[in-house]
Amino acid sequence: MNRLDEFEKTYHRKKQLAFDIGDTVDVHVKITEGDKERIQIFSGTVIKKRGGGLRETFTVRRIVQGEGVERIFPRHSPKVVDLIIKKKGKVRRAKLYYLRDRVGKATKVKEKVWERPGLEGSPAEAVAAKATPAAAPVAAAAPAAAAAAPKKG
Amino acid sequence: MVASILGRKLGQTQVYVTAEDVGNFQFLNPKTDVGRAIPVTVIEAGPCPILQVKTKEKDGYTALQLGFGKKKVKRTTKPLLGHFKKAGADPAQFVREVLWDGSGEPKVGEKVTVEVLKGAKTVDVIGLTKGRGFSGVVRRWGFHGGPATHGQSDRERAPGSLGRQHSISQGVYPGKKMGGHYGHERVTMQNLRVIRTDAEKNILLVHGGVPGPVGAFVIINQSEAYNAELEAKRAMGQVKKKK
Repeated sequence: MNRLDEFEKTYHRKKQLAFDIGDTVDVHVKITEGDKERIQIFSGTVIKKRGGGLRETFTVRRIVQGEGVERIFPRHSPKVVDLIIKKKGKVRRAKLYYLRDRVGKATKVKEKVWERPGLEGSPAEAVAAKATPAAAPVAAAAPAAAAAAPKKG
Repeated sequence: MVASILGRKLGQTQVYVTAEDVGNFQFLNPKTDVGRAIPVTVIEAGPCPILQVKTKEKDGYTALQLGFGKKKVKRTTKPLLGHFKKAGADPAQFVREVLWDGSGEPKVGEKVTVEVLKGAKTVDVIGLTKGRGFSGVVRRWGFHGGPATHGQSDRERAPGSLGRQHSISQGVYPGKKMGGHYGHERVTMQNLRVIRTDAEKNILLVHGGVPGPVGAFVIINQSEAYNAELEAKRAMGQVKKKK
């Protein structure tokens, strides 16, 4: 790792935003109006990620009153407070520019239904499930190995 | 007071303005600029051992000689090795004389760190620009080149006329802008804001760009110290007065 990356790391956001291209997300953005601060939610489809390190940005596209609206967020900006994944998208490319040419129902990205947040057996759940039984087979394997060892002797 | 340090350019990136920054810098609006990204250059500055102290009595002027970067002993000449040894320092890759107004008591062998720039609002950064080799007038001087159409051929990046000849001038005027070697020259970026310093990691962040490629050596002076030095030289007639 070079020194610049190392430096940038110290400024990365503490809680990483985990999402992929094609996901339908809610981006929570801090907005200052006069002296007041509030959180605004921008929800749409992630169509692009760009850059790396501290300079990484992502673009979220949504349709407002029949008009396409795209907003670019810096990934590590303190103004992006949170990002919540509503749906995992099933896409085959890294930049979803083709959505710009589509209207109506065609603007939808297919959902990875099996990865739906909160759904039983979805990867998030699977990872958690794996963590617990994984310990069991190891423990089960250990006595077996112990049993095999004396035989060898 | 020591007001200069040597360093290495690590690259450009951006940092986000914190509530603390807003109080420190006038150019930021406390209401709207928190969370905004500002472009910065990351410089690894110091630690630099003082290799030699030049004094008025001995040398006729005051200055400090600093070293930066590691150099293999094998690649250091013996006379230079002795010079480093005298300061009790490891051989340095980059050795330069920097400003010193004669105040304070810097000693040979002491290390200069980013701490010296902590109070500074702005700095001047000196570096060698990227070498661009032999460049044409479009790149080197920003000429517009010739027309692309109307029956032109081979004129797109041509410099055009060199001026009137014979009747008035005795030829092409000296200093006429032409193609030639461009870049790899010493450039001083003045009054760059110091955004952050980190003495622990020897990191200095300045606002905006700095001459040279990533990894290039740079000299960093506190702007005020540089200006004071220049003023003193003007007073002594060593440098031309500002028009």
